[in-house]
Amino acid sequence: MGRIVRSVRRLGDPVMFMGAWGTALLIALFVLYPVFRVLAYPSATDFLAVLDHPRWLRAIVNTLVMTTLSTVTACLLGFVFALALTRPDLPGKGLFRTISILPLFSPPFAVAFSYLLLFGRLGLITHTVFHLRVDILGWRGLWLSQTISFFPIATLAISRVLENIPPSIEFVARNLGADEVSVFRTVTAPLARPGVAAAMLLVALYVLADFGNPLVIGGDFPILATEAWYQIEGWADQRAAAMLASLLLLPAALLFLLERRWVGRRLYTTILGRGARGERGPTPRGLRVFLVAFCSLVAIFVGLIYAGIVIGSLTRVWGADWHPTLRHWAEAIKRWPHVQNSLVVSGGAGVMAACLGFVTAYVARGRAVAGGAILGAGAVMPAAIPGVFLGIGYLLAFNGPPIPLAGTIWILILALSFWNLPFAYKTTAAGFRQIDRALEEAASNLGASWLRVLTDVYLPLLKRTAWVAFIATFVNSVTNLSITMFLVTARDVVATVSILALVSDNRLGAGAALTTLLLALTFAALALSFRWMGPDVLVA
Amino acid sequence: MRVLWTISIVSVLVICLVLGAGPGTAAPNAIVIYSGMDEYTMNVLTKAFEPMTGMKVESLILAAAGTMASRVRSEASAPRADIFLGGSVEIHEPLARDGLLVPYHAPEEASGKIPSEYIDPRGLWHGFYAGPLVIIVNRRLYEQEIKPRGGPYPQTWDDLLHPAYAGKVAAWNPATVGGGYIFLATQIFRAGSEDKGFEWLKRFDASVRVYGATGPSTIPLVVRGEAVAGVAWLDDSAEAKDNGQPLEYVIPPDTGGEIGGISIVKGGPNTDGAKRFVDFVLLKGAQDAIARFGFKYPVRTDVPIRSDFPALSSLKFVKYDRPFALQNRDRLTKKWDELIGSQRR
Repeated sequence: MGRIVRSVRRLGDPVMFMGAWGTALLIALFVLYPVFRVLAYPSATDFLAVLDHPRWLRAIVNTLVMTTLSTVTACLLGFVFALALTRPDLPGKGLFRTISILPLFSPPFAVAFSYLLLFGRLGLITHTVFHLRVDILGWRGLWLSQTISFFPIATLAISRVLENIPPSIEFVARNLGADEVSVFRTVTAPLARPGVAAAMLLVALYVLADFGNPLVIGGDFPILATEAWYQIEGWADQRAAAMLASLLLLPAALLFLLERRWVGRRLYTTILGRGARGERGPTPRGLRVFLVAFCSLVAIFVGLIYAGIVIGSLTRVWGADWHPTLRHWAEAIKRWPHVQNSLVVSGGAGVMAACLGFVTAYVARGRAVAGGAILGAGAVMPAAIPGVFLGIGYLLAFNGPPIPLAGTIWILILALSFWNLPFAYKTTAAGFRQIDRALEEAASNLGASWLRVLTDVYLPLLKRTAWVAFIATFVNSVTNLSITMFLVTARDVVATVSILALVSDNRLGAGAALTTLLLALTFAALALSFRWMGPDVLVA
Repeated sequence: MRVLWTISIVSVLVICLVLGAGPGTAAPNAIVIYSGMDEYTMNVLTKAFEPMTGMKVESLILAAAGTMASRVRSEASAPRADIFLGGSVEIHEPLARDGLLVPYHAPEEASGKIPSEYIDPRGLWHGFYAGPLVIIVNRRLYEQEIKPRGGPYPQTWDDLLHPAYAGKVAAWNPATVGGGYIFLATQIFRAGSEDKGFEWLKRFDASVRVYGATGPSTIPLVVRGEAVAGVAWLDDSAEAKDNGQPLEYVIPPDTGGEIGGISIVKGGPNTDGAKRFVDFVLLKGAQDAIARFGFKYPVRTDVPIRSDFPALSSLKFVKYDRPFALQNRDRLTKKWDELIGSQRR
């Protein structure tokens, strides 16, 4: 009875109602419509052709295997990092924080080539230092590079949840006689569940659609996302590409359902209105040693990879002729306008994704409106769509009337913001889930309008979450190639497309220089935001 | 309340920007080119074309011809490009078949200076350069790993079958790289029959370390020592060598080749301008620039080739039956995958 009254009241709230429908309309228009256009592209017989191509069948199996492997390792790594970053008393935290976000900044090619350079058959580390002959091309190398590429996403999602677990709960458990292991097992881990689930879902979706790593490291290991791109690049066969990319939607939908089941209807409220936070106690010695050792190892590894890129930009021929030179940098500086375009487009996409994510999460939270769950599903859907697929979808959908966006910079901004909506939405929604509804109800009872509740209760509590959404989208957009290469025009070429042009011309040095420039700028932007929002912005 | 203000301001800004940005239209006297050719040569061509015609060239340069073709196809409802340039004519042919290109016969094509194999009788695409498949070699690794084991320095395709090369060659996957399929077809034509061709490919498979999945992928693999030798295009290899990369290349006898194509997109903003550009690209001066800076063979017989290239007449191309290759592509790549690709590892 109370529920009905409440939902009637909700429906009666015109702004809430419009918000829900507005968001739904936007998602339908900018996510579902382009997806539909691509799905409608191949015919049914094209889908049947899969059964006839052993390579594509292998690609399906490989995709599922890699998604499982890389998701598990990336989330484990991410969890350890999240544990370390949420401890107040760990030495070297600043370094670990930097390392835990660095792999998010991985423009295409450079990182993968750096792997080849360091760990390849004649790699600096594997061959020159350790005299090993390893074969990095193939699924093992791919597993490694995907784990490193995507653990930052897990760290971000998990640490934000860990941070919000009030230390007082753990403290109480300890007082009741629980040892560290059982505190972790019975308190920390279960409460971190929505974070871990969100992390696994996100990472799995990113791995599923990953395209930069398999392109360089995968060798000839067929997986669906790259196979779709090969059909386009090698044969200009869009029907096969659309069909292969469509196959990714199925496992993605399955993952989403799994996550819903796992997190399900339990309550994870930990931000109570009653000020029960308290200080986090000192980290036990054993855990501390383990965390520092583990994170240091990963830090050295990641540091090497990125040092490889910088060195590549300063030497004549990457990995073959080590004479120092600045000519690659001269080449890169000439492409400054492309970098500028990247910053404008990604900044726009970041703002839009953060706003959209916030509004969607607000509207879809709990049972605020009928169909909130569907809205949430729609907001997560883009993560399952490989960039190549979305790029083509936008081109098909918005090239002419009624919405002629192609040829403008807006098609890029929209595509990138909706593509990043899943992360923005998931982080914000997880944030909402942790805030006790009693806070809202209390405010409402005191006569606050929905707007007042939003701005005075939720926004201050979720300001940082929104910021995380912005930064993640920004970084993800600056480094995106799979979408931009279909949507840029001659006048707004972005840096990653420029990098692809250089790499295709075999000018890897200039590509590395441009990559370094892009990395430096995005990092500078991040450093500025640290100053503005405080250094804990990415873990809070 | 400050937050509320920020939100409102941002949304107003966003709305204004969205409304303000109409569809981008090119300047009236400009042409838009989707180019799969290297940037340097494109710049040289642009700088010559603009003062000659008073037109402006806006080009999107991405050495990824298949991606460009996909854009042309996706934009068919309202084309934004006038010219699609670069990539082998195999990439242009499907666009031609689906009626996305404008037929045009350039005056130069009737001049007798361009051999007929570069001219499409329908006028839908125009061959404007040629390039053979080559063998690329990492000399240092050859001396270290192949020579001591009695392997020959590769002069012919068959040299790569020597056991010393086992697992040391970077090739292309014919199912994913256009050039990989041209290589496959070349071996079939060289062997004289499909069965013999596949027999050769099976033996070659023992030498292959990796079947690269994209066109430019083999050169970095050989330069960085992941493979000793590889299959590549002449223009990419010559340019890499010119850039100081430690790479050598050999044009083997009975090699196959690509014909670089240019075509006019149907319904583009400036089709007349596009025709002038096609005329221009086939002129002597443009062909000279393409040969010199693009490391390609010109299609005109009266344009000198690069001094470091062997004369086109001295190259022995395999008798490449292009129509057969085009028609049997799906069947042959599938057969390759069944016999070789899926048997690996």
